[in-house]
Amino acid sequence: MADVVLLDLWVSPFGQRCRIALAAKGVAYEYREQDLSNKSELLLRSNPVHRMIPVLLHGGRPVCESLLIVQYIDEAWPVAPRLLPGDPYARAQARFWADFVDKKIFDCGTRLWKCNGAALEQATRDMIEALGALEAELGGKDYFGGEDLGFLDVALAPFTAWFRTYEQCGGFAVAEHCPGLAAWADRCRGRDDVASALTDPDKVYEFALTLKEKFGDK
Amino acid sequence: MAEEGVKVVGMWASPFVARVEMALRLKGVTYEYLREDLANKSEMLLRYNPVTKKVPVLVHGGKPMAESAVIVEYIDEVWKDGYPIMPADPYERAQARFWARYADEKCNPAIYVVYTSAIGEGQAKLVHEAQECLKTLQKALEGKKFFGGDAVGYLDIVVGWYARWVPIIEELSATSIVTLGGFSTSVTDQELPMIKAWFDRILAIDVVRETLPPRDKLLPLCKPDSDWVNLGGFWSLVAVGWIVSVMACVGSSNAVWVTAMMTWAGVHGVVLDGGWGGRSRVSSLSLTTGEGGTPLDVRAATLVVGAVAHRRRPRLECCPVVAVARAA
Repeated sequence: MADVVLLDLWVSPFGQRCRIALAAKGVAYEYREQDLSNKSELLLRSNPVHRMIPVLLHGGRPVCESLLIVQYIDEAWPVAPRLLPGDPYARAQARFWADFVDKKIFDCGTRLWKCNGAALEQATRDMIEALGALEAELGGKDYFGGEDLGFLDVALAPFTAWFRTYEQCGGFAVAEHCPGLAAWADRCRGRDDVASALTDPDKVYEFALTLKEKFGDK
Repeated sequence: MAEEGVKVVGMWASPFVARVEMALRLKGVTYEYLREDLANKSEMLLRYNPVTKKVPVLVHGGKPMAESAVIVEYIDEVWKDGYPIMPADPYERAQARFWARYADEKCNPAIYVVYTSAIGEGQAKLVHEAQECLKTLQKALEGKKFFGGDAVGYLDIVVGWYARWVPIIEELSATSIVTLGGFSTSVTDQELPMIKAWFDRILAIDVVRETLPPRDKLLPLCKPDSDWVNLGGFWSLVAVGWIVSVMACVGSSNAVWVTAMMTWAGVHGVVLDGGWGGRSRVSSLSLTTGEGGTPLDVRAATLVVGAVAHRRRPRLECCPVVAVARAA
């Protein structure tokens, strides 16, 4: 087994966070696609509590939970770019907002493909509000991290591949409500380390439709 | 400079605020405590934390931050020469953060649900689930005095509040989650000795004991209060002159107020001892009619149960078992 292994799923935005961080740091790793309908013994052994991807194995030791993996990558390979800033207050802000992405963007996003009717309308409103808060936090900077990719950029970037899905489901345009965020999304996708990790937005939408078929509200 | 203007915006009974205070006290940092009324949030709180509007908020040199787990890491980083909270090694740090997340996302809701549960078969299942969560968390404790090793660390700070709250929840919901002690339910007669031993150890730490809300203040707050409630249903029954018998725990606050109400209304009633030996919970209402032995209409029975169960605290909404019986 290679020194650094990532157990992941092709379309998972959580896995993609780890891929972006590894690529940004120039860390060589072995990518192992997982079949979640038939979980591998390695996955079950590495993440017995949640049995979920992503899992990073470093020297055989597993690290779980995407944001924790990204922090681990930042600390274990303390080279540029430093994903978490040096200043403790800026670090606290980055962690707070990354937690916000986990709690709000993923939740609203799920409701957007899953729900219908009034619930869908509420999910749309909630998503626009959450993206607006992130737009305000970006505040005209190139990246949330300032001049280069930071922790919050890595946390949110994979969800930009889902913007088209959110827009299709919710009937709104991100660029109209959050032009700064839309520009940031383009900027991220122009970078190799991000672009190589993200799934094509059309493929994401196709995938979301299969999820809707299987798990969506009737 | 580091100690300039450290403020904590909090509420005395919040376990999340306790985390922040514990971290500050371990570091020996003096701070100003600003008490917040969560039922009437101040303009200050909304200004400091417009995103989630919650406590705790730490303000340091005028700069506010929210989310207790984030704040604890901040405190550790700023006062880095003080008491070490986070482990030094990146892998150990990832483990500590993992278990903190697990506790917040899995253990907290499982424990809370036991607190709001009603005695019965369903409750036993909830207790079992809470125990399974804590058993999993226990893996992070194996072979150590504290989650942090020989001394209190990040994870101890994050879950230390269990040592105060879980025994109270056990008492109020008449369950054993961690401690076998006369409250056992049929399905889950087991205890968690490692966690229990950790409860004792962590409460022996001065800073922890001083920071957690005192038991004698917290217990009454967690108990169902005996306010007068919406009794529309009850009075509609009273109006037709039914005799109501209430099976309750004699001396409990619930039995006391129901009796007082019936007396006030001139309703014939009887309080039957529920036989739970002083535990202050109404666990069932038995309603019988007066002469004639007409069984109580189910809808009317529901109204009465609804009247009793309608409280500020959600736990009684999933209370009681209603036994509707003919008068003897």
